[in-house]
Amino acid sequence: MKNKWLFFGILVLLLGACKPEQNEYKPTPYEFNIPLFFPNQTSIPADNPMTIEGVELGRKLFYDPRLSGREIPGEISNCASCHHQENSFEAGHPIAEAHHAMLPLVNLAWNTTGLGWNGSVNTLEDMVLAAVTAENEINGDTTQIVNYLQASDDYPTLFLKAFGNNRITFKNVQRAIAQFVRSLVSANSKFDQYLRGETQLSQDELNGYVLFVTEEGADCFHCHGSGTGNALMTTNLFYCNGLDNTFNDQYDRYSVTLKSIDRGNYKAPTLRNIAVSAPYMHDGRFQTIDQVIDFYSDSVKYSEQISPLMHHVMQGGVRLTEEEKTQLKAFLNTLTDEDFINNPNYAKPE
Amino acid sequence: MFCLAGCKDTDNGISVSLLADYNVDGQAILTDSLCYHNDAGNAFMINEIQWFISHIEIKNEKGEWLPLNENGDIHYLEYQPQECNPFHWQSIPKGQYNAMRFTFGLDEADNKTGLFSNPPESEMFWPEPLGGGYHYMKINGKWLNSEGNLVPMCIHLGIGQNAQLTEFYHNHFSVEIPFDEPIGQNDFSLTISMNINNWFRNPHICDFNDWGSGIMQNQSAQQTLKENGCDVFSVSAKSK
Repeated sequence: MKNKWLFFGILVLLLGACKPEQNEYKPTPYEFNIPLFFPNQTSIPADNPMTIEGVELGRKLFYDPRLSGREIPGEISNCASCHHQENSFEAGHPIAEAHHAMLPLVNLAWNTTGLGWNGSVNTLEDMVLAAVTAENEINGDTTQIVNYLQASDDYPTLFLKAFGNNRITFKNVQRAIAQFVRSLVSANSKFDQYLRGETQLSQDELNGYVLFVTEEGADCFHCHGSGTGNALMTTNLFYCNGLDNTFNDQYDRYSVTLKSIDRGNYKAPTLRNIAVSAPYMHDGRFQTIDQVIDFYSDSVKYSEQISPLMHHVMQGGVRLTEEEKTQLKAFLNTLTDEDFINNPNYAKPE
Repeated sequence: MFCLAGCKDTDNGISVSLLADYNVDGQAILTDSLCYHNDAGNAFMINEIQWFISHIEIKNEKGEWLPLNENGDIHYLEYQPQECNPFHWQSIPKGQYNAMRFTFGLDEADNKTGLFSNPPESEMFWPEPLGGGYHYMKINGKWLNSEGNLVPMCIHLGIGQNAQLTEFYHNHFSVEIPFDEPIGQNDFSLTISMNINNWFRNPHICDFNDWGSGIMQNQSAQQTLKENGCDVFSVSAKSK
C-alpha cells in the first residue's frame, strides 16, 4: 500500500514536471485606444491580436541587431537601422539599396490598402518577412535567425510569454514585430491639439490650414485628409501626382494592378510628422518641404495618367504666392508630433 | 396552429431591396475610357462615382410616405463594375406603393462633420472652411478640353459658399419619382438609375470649358447641377 502511494506521488510529480509550458500562456491584451477623429475600424488581424507581451517582444526584435541572424551584423541589421523614431520611423535620408524612398511607420494599424508605395504587400506580417529576407534590406535567413534567437538566453522566454510557446518560429517573429509597428500611433501634434480645442494655431498656421483644405487653395485634402474628416492625413490610396510625364518605374502601382491607368501612381503618404520625414516622394527627389510646396505650386507635369484630383495641372500647379507657401509650410509643421518621436515606449528598450 | 404559423409571414410584411445603376444616355459605364459626350460637345470619361442618398421613402395608396430606415437614413453608394450588394428592408407592410422619394446628398440636419468615422463614407468629407459635412457626390474623370488636352474633371457636389467663405448654401435636393404601376403585394426591388449626362443638360447645358476642373468653390456651378438634378434619376420597381 505504501509503495502504491509512493508510485502515485512520483507519477503526480512527473506529470507536473512534464506540464507543457504552453499552459503558462496568459498574455495581457494591449489596450489600443482610438484617438479622436480616427477611424474606429482598424486592420489588426484576428489571428494576431495585440498583447502587451507581443508588442514588447516586437519592440525588442525591431531594435535587435540579432534580427539579421548574423554574428557580425551588417550595416542594415534590424528594422531600426532604417526606421528611426526621430524621423517618424522613416530613414531621414535616401537608402541607396532600396527601390524607393522609405515610408514612415506611423498609424499603420488603420492602413487597409496594402503597404509600400505601390501597395504590393498586404499585411505588416508579410512586410516583416519581406524586409528581413530582401537582399537589399536586412538580407537575413529566416532559419538562421530563428536558430540564433532560439539559442539566446532571453528570447525563448519572451516568445513563451507572447505566443505560448518557447519554440521560436519566424511566423511569430513576424507577428511580434507587426504588433509593435501597429502600436506606433501618432495623434498628438499641435494640429491634433487644436482640433481637440487644447491650443490655438497662429494666424499663419490657420491660413495654411485653409489653403490645405480648399480646392482653389493648395488643394491637398482630397489625397491627404483634413483632420476632422480624415485624421490619418492620407487616404492611403494611390495617385499620379504629376511628378513626371513619362513612367518607367517597374515598382509603381501598375506593377501590382496591371491597369494602364495606374502607371506612375503611388500611395499618398501620411503628412503626419512630414517635417521630420524627408526625403519626399517615392524616389526621394525632394529634400525639403519647400521643394515639395514649390513642386505642387508651379511644377506639376501633365500626363494622361494624372489623377483627376490634380485639378490645376494645366496651370502647372496650384500657383501659390510666396506668402501662401510660407503659410502652408507653417501648417504642415503643426503636424509634427513631438510626443510620438520622443515616446519612450517606442524607443530602443533598455 | 398551422394557420397561425402560416399567418406569421403575412404579418411580417414584405421585403424591399434597392440597387443603384449608372449610365450615360443608356450607355453602360465603362471606366477610364473616353467614350462619352455631353450636349455641349465635351468628350469625357468617368473614373469613379460616389454619392450619398438619404431619407428614402415609398408612398402607399393612401398617399402616406413610409420611411425605409431600418438601417439608418443615410446610405453611401458607388459605381462598381460588378453588381454590389443591395440595401434591404424587411417587414414592410403590404400595400399598393406608387412612388418613391429621397434626398440627393445630405440635408442640413444630417450633414455634420464627424458623422462617419470609417472609409469609404469618411473619405467623402467636405472641408469645414467650405461648409463642413460631406460631399453629396463625387464624379471623377477627365474631359477633352478645347485645346485638345485630356484634363481632370471633378464633379463634386456639396455645400456651396460665397467667395469669402462666410456664407454657405445647401445644395441637396429632394427627388420624387412615380412607379410605372403600383407594387407591394410581394417582395420587390427598386433600381435607381443615374443618367450622368442629365447632370449636364436640363435646363442648363453645361460646357466643362466654362467650369474648369473643380467646382467645390463654384456655387454657380453647384446651383446649376442642383437644378439639372431634377431628371437625373429614374426608378424601376419590380416584384421578386
